[in-house]
Amino acid sequence: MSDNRLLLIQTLEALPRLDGRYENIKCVNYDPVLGAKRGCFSIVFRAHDVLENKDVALKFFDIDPANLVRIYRRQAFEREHAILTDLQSKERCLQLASGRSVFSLSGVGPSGVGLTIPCEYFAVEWIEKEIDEYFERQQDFDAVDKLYLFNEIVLAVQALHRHNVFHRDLKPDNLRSYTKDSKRVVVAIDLGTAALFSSAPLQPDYVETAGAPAYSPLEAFCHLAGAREIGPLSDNYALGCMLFELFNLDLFTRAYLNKNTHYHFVLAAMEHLFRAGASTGEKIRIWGQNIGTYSNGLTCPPIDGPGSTVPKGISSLLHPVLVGLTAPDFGKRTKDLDRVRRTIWSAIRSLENEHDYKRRLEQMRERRRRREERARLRDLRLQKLLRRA
Amino acid sequence: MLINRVPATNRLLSITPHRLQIVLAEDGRASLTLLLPPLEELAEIRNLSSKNVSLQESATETSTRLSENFSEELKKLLEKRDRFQKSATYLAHLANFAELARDPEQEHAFLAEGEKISGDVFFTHRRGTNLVARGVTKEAERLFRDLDLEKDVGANLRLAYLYVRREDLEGADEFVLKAIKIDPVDFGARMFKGALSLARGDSRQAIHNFRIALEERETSSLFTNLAIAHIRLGQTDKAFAALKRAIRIEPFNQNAVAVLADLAFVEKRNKEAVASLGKFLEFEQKNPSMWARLARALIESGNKQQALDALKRQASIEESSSVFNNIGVTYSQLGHKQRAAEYFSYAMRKAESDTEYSYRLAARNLLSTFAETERFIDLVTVGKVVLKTDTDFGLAHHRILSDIYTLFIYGIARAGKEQEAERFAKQLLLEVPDAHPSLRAWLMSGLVGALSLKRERWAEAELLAEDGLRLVSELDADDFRRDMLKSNAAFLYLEMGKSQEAARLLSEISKWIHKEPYPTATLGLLQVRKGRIEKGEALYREAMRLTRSTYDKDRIAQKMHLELGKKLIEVNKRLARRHLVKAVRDFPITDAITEEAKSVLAALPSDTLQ
Repeated sequence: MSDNRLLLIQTLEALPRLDGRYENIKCVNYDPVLGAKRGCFSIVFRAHDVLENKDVALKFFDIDPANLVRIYRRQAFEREHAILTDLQSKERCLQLASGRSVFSLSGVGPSGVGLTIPCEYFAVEWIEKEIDEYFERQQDFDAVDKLYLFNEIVLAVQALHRHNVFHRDLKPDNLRSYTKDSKRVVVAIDLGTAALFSSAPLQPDYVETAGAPAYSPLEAFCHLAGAREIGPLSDNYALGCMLFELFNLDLFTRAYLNKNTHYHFVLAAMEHLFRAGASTGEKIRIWGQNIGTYSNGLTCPPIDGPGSTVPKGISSLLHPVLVGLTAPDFGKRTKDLDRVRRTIWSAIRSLENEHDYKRRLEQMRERRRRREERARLRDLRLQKLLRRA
Repeated sequence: MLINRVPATNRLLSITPHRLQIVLAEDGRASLTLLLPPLEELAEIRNLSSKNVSLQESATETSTRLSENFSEELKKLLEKRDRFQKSATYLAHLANFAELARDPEQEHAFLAEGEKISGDVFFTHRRGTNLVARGVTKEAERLFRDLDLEKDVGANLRLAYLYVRREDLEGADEFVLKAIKIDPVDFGARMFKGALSLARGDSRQAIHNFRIALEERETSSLFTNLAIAHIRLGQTDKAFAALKRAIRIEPFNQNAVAVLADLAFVEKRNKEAVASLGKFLEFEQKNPSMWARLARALIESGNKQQALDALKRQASIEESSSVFNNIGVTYSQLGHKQRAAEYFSYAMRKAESDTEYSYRLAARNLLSTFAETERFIDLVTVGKVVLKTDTDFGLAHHRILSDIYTLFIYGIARAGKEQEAERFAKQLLLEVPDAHPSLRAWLMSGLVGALSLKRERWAEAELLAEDGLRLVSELDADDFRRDMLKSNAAFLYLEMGKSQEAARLLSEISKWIHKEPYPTATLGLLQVRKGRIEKGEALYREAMRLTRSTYDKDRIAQKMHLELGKKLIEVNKRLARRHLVKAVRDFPITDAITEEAKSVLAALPSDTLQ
């Protein structure tokens, strides 16, 4: 924990009122016990806006010395505010609560001389309800409830995409919900890594993924995390991961790596093919020419494998959705999120209609019975042949 | 005639053998200062080494980088401990991140906690897998045994895996059969059963199980296993097809690519392996044995220059005797004999001892190159050094290395010491009666050829010929010595006047008439003996054109002129004298023939002199 960051947190938390309107300021993305901080570019505080009489999230640019020299991080902070400005009054999108302001943080430098650090910040609406319990305590929720939630998550992502924004760091922690007219609405928060289709990438080359590795697709690991053309597809991949994790004890990424032990070879091969200095367009062309050859053997783990609570009767509906959303080749990944939601609704209706569910379950069991019978007959035939020989 | 054809440097690439991997669940070093190491090229090879990329290394780096990221994710997830510490899912996720962050102890702790809270066998399975990976197999076995083995496919397969680890295939099979009984279409169970059947030699059973598994899931390892089973049954086309499917699914599957390359070599279908090897090596350039395979496939399919490039890449990774030997073979095939000799010499120096195979193989190739370039003094000198270490005639028993004796005796004969060569050959046949058939065949063939021209030793030659012809069946189908024996025996029979026996033998090697010089010349002799002088001469002249060296050409020419001279005495004495003079004056290669020609000439009336 840098001195700068600590001083900012201590100063703000001790401040009775910031800018004449924010009270009860409390840092929410730093755990002093574990020393862990969530998010790369900012320090987030929860505060009460006395003007609007509602809670807000104050997002400060992280004044850690390492961050101060990274221009692209400051640009990303500025870009986040610009994206939120574009999303103002748009449904299912996080809303700004203030313009950009600067707080002058006073302190004493190493040589004992007083110094002032200008700290940029802005406020966004505070959305109380976290949805991570659906993932971390999934055994306590029924399948229908999870599917309703997933439908809401897809709607939140569609809302961003509709306004030419792609999030690039979708995960349960970056989704919140509120209730409006007795209906749950899910909103994607923390747009620190989000980008607009029209905005230029802040870095010439993305060596790392933009978002959490556990929810990042193959292309994001090989220098394509900044490609605007395919940005929404990385969000779709994260949706697939979350669909899996609503019903499984395993994280999708663990299940995927365990099933595809050569994943890192495919990744290394694609990285190797992307010659140094190649433009994004050229990389996408190289990708298109080669990914089919190298990703042939990558297989999606079944949504109803060990540790899964997917009702058997709807696994045949959900597994293709998972396969489509998490396809290793972004060119083959599901683009049409409406279609995804239609399938999710089919699954919901099936679970809510006992007759329909039983029919699906019976069809599935029948298919399996036939496969087992065929295998047994083949075993018998071989034994007969071997005895004759 | 201990100057018969000798083995060439061709097709002696030594490649680190690839062990078939069945996936279950997947100087007295002689100082040869006469030869200098090819320094310039060695520098080029060293430059190449810095350019090699390795997918294996890149993948390991990527994996390490990711594990660091996952370690951070684990920390972040631990922040939620207060909220979710009693949740099985949360503990499973913590265990997942610990596993991805390569912290198996912590993973196990989370799994144990999850198991305690939920009682879900999911955690028991994971804990068992964790224990196996950490080598705590006894506890893992106890854990899996405590599961419901009447219903749990996974537990049975894990126990089978542990039994295979201690090489108890019978025990493993029981668990696998139980797993199949529970779920006859389980991919893992069928693949395991197939692999076990393959390991126990039951390829049909293996194919049966692999095919059922393939209906559930197509994986590269499964297709490779299937290919191995087909190879065992001699179903090579099916094996090729399965291997190609395996490589299409996973182009980096080294096992599949290596098996395909080796199968393609054995089946002489090397072209089919070049693309897969090339694709593999595009990304994995630090694998010397795969470079060697590519080089072999390229040589066999005629792309020698590309093969040389591949071998140099191999040498940039491992400076072994074998790779320099292989570069020598390729240079030899490209016609660069001097450079080939330098590499063979360098390969000998690179060998760890003068008794190891790679040293002797390089020596054998060096001697062969000396023979081809007619450097007989060098051949004998180096040969002596190499054979000095073979005190028990061990080399004489080896299929390939026995060529060292062949080449050495050939060198002595060609250095003008035919008597000495003959003595040594006879001594070898006598003292090493169990020498490799290919050496015995060459020695007998050579002695038959040499003795054929000495009327007083025809009986001895005939016995040798009979012994030699009995050896034919022990030689490889494509061994040139089979036909050499027959050709020389036919020559002996013709000299002895047994034309019928000679004709029979010549008909057996008719495929070599018009292709190889000596069988063609022997047929020419038969024709001359039968009075068909023009036909005989035409065959002789054709044989001369087929020779690879001036020595052989002159040798055949001498015999032709003697035979024509003898045959023409009755018809045209002047012409006969002209031929005989040529045999004596122009081609004085074989002493016995020169002497015979002289004596026939002496008997000719003086009016034939011009």
